[in-house]
Amino acid sequence: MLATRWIGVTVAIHLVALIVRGIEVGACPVASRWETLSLLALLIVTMHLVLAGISRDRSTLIFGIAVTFLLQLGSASFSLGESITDPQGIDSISSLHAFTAWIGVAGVSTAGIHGVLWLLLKRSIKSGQFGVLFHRLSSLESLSRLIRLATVIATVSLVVTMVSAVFLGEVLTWSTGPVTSISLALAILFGVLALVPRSTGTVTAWRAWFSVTGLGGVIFIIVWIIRFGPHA
Amino acid sequence: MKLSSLTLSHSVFPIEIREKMAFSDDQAIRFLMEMSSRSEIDNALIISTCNRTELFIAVENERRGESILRDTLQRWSMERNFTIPDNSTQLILGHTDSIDRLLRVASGLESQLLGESEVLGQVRLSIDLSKQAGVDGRIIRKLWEKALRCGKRVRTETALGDGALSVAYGALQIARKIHGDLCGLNFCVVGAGEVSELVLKHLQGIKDAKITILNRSHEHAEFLAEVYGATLGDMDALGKHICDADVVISSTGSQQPIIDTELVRSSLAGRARALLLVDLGVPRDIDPEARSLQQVFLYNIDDLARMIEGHLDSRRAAIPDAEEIVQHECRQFERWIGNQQLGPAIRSLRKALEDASQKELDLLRDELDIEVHDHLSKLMRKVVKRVLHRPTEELRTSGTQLSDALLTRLESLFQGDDTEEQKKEVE
Repeated sequence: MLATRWIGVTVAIHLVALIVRGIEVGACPVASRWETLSLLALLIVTMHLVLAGISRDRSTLIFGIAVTFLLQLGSASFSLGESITDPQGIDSISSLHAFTAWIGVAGVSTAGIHGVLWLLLKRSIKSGQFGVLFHRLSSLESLSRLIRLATVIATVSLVVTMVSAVFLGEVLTWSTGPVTSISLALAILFGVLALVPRSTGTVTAWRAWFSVTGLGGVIFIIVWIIRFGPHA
Repeated sequence: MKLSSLTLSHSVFPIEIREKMAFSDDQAIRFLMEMSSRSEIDNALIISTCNRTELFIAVENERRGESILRDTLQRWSMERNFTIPDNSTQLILGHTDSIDRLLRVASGLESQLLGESEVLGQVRLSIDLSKQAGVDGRIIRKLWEKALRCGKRVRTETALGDGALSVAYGALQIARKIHGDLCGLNFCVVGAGEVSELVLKHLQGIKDAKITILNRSHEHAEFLAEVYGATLGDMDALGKHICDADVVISSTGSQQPIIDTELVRSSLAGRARALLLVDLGVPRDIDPEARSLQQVFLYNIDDLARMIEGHLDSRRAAIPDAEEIVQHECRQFERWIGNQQLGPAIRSLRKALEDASQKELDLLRDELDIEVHDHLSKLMRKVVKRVLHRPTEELRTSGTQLSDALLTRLESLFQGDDTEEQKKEVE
């Protein structure tokens, strides 16, 4: 409980730092690699906290924080002053587009993390290997619920991202990089996953595998951004 | 009399072999009767549980006991189709080790799940089998009583039995890992024995749980259903009950699997939730192949014991205290059995001295008043008792270390016919 509070305080400080940065540049702080990775880290940990708050299941929080730590560490390796996109060129629709896209990506990442944990826990229980994951994680049922919840949040956010992209007049071409195509694919995939009813059986196994695929997509997007910078 | 035992337990044999060695009550009685007539044994005890099959016998000497048990092991391996391991000599224990073994078994020190309580009940019931087979002789009964006493002491005086750890507890832990909250789940308990009752006890705290009991005989199942608020189901509709259940816990005495893979597969059709199958039976009730089905989680007694292993730290800390109690009770029993061997020798020594003094006193019968004669007779007996007190105590103390040959020689030195009164007095 105390640890969760500390995480909450840390997230609040992180959020304040990003808001200050947003005010400073006058847009959603996604103009540089430092900002994009830092914002993604914040959103993933926030997503985990929200899920933990809704489900009362804190068993996966540590894994979300580990991913967040990696992203934050990654963002620290880039210069704060570096700006690939001109911040002045980011209007409010672009900000909405970028912010919802990042919430969507955070949702996909969270679903993916829970998907990996679900598959590992299932394997552990099924094979009778009662190790650390068995004792640490709550249950397949609870993880399944968390995957579905993260999937729904990711879908809603990605739909908003796509709609805002239409307003921005952004066309689906490789000129903006494969990030757009992957984001669209993730939106469709997670849209389908969000609509399928929840269960602990085969459906959840498929959902977990697709979430892991989504996490793969997110990793590709992160690598792309690290290499070429954000396109927004 | 010396004790010998044959030990086939979980520490040496996996469940695949143990289930071949398991005895139902009827089989155990038949075996004991057969062994009694074949080897002329009237002191034998068999304990057959899911974790062990142990045979204890008391015969004149350890060599004969060992020979009978080796022969028994050979017969079992042929009849029950299993291979005797290379270290088979370690499966047969001598006199002191056998006493220690039964006391440790009853205390839960030898259990797969350290300190479990079910084994004491199983030891308690084992004497009924010996009684029905007519092999519940004095030695084995006394050993059984000692084992029960020791088991009770260990559980009340140490922390070995603390905590709600049992295979039933383990089964529910796994159910929680699969289904999360157990509220509102459908449980199907197959079998109405002691283990099933323990499972039902554990299920009592679960809110809105729907429990169905299935058993071939309705008599005890009806009683359990009433006591634990469960529904009594029809064993012939086993497939339907599995289909409706989220958790199936089976513990029957069946010699063949009662739930095969096809039955499980057919019950999975249209199922949204995973199916947890817990097989607490030995021999196993559920075909192990069912484990390969996607939505099925199947566990046997060995899996559950492994799962609970990590929760046993507090119990492990109590092992030295428990072992001290076992050693104390073991020494007491050895002393008792030593006294049984010394009895004839002490009786003949006392009788020889009393007879000699009485003979001398009888020579003076005519010269003495009857009252005085009786008084002197009592006095003589007191003197003999006092004279023999210390040597008798010395003999009792070292009784367990004296060889059989020496005891026989001691007895024959003062051989004579014992009276019942004298026998009682010595005991």
